[in-house]
Amino acid sequence: MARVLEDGDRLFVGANLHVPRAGALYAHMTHAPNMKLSVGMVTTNLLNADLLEPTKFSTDYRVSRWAESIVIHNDIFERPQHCSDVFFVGGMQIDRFGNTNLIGIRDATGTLAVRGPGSLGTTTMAHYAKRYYIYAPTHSRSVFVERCDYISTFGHGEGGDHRARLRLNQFNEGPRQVITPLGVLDFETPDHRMRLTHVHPGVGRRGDRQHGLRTRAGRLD
Amino acid sequence: MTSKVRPLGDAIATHVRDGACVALEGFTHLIPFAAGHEIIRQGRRNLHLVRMTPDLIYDQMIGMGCASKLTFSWGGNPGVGSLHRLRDAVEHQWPAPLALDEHTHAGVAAAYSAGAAGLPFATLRGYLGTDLPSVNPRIRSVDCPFTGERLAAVPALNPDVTILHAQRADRRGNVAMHGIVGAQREAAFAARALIVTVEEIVDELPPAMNGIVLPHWIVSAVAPCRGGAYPSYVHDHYARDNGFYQRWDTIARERNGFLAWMNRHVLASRDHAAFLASLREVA
Repeated sequence: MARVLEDGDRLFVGANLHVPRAGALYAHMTHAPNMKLSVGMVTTNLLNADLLEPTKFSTDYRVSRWAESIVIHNDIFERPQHCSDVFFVGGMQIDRFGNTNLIGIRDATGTLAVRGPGSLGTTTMAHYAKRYYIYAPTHSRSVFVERCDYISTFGHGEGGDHRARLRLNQFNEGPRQVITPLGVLDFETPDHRMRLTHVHPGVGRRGDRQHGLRTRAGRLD
Repeated sequence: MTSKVRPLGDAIATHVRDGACVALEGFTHLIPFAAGHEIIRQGRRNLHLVRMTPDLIYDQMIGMGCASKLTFSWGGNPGVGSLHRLRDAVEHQWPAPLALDEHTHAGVAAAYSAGAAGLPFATLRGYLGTDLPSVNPRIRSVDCPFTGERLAAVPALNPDVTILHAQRADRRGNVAMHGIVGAQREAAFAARALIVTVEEIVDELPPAMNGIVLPHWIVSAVAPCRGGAYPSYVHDHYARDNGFYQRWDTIARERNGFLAWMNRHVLASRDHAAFLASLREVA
């Protein structure tokens, strides 16, 4: 995760995404000293902070001791100047074209059976960010589906030039990669179907099969 | 000078009617818990609740049967998990069906801003291709008259009453709040009535540049209520009780346990001071 972050990036990471936050801090401490992190409504450079205590909630005002600037909540979600350069989106479901779902899961009859939390800022922030990545804390068949029951953040829609037809490419051209505990997947083919590009060291073939990992994530048989 | 200072019970009884559209705002900071509890005590029904990020207070109001509709963009217990009462209402219609009006953060903020400006709708990017319009038929689209670009359109939000918590107010009803803010100003200016609970009433507000001041002419009532945002926090007054948010997951998980807790601590308490005292008894 740290590898996809560049020196000078401005980055907003939610307090509940512990792994992306750790990745951001790791990048910051190594190859990206000029990164600006937005932590709990505060934009800051943490390189010289002595000790980074974990925050307990997303707008812990105690982080303001590190602040270079304070961000007004609403500005984060629809001001390209305030939005992150890089954004990580999660989902209850992620489909083969990188669409993600935070709305809910349908039962066999098509009715909403499991109510999700809702889309928060992901719909607009993934649109305004210069680069965005999908982060999946678990790599499982229930998360990686053929098609999301509901799309809350548009990835590549039905693939191909779907984004371009909807004129959604003003700020970015869709999700760059999907980062999971097992590997990395991208969308760099003309049809933008998700494909496996990297398996993390130590993840063996049997583990891949158990978790439904294939070179084409669209085929999870 | 007409004083806007009212006891919280009177302010709720006067301004919050059954069936009203009610917004309680505050983002992690300054969440008006005491006012929400008073609405529960007064037994309001069929409310259309609006809140960018429904968390514990809306879980409590929904579980106690106050609401029939919810406008929101994210519902959860921050850093802990699901809102069990909200999910029970949506998934199993308990204690009553709850209609959802689903938005994004930007969508709710823009809808309040449009409401405050007297505009009929707000426009947004990034919605095209998502299922938001299918889960919320009031999310539609509009073509830009200048570029032809297709944008999402959401109707303005004008709550019948917005309820906030702040650090202090004067007797005329000018309200000062500082620290991290969410959509409070937008929700206040969009509302037909505005109730603000405050940590203290002062003779004169200290001059504070950039401390948000809501002018008395948009404020319907200020109610003194020390600790009124507990278990959320009030900058310069008290910290967030993170342990309470974690305990809530257990309290709210089962219907009976939830009802027992609400009966003991909210319904059996005359006011917020009594509520806080009842929590100290079990601590």
